[in-house]
Amino acid sequence: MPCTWVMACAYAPSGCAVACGGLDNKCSVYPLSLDKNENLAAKKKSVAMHTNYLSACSFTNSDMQILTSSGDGTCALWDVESGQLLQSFHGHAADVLCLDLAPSETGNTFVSGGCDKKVNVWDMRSGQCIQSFETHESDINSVRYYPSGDAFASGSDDATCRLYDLRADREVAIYSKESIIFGVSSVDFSLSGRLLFGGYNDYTINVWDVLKGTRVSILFGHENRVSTLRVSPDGTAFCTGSWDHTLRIWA
Amino acid sequence: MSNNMAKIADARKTVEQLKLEVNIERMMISKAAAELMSYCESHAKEDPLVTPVASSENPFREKKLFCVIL
Repeated sequence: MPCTWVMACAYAPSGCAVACGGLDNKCSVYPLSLDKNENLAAKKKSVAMHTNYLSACSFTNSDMQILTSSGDGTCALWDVESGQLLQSFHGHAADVLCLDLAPSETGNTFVSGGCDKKVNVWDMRSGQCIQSFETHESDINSVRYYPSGDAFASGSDDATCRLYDLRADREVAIYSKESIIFGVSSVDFSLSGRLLFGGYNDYTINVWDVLKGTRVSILFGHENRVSTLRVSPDGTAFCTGSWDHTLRIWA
Repeated sequence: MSNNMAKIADARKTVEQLKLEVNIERMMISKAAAELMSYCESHAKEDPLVTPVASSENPFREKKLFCVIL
């Protein structure tokens, strides 16, 4: 990779390409190949250009479009083939740290969270911000849609995770405890949406019961802060990545 | 002076955005929450982290001793 810090990466839906980016302000797409002799770096395609670091990227339903969010406060939708900017999303007042696409097949909305403590819901086709939520007290590090697509959760440096309902247009639950003082770096739901997993900067993972608002369990194992967390597509396990150089799978 | 102008422009944009947001249709939270709950209940059986899968099918089970061919 040509830049020092890679801050975002994403698999293409077909599994044939990977997009990544970071401090180089760009998002590059690498086609994957099982041929060891192929020089993958030569096939790299530079797709997105921002004026600040790339914080997150995600393919939309197809391999042909990528959605990116950046430290320059904007999100943007790009065509992979031509590298052209299809739509840009302005509205955050500070760095955008995370984004997540709505789960439905026909979905054309996505949610983004930023350092301005706001979570914005955007219409991908018009570029309009359709809803906005500002109840967190600090930077929002991670947003994830609820499996049904009608709600989403966010994790923030204010040590809380919050659940927002899109149709009721309000925050519906806060997942926090007085004993938790370290920020949440990453959140994800279990398959049914009953459990919310949060990776925290105090090296632990807290598991919350989404409906009751209580903590189900706390998982120890990492020796440094948990920076990212994802549930597997079949829901049997989830994986966490940490500053202790390890990835751990929990089942 | 130009800083003030920028702030005024920002405030105008916020007002425009809020005007758009005022008109969206909002569902009653009692109904929305009930739907979230029912989604959870209905999918709970498919979720291996909520309803434990039988040990024989769980790919992450504690591995029992395998037969070692000496």
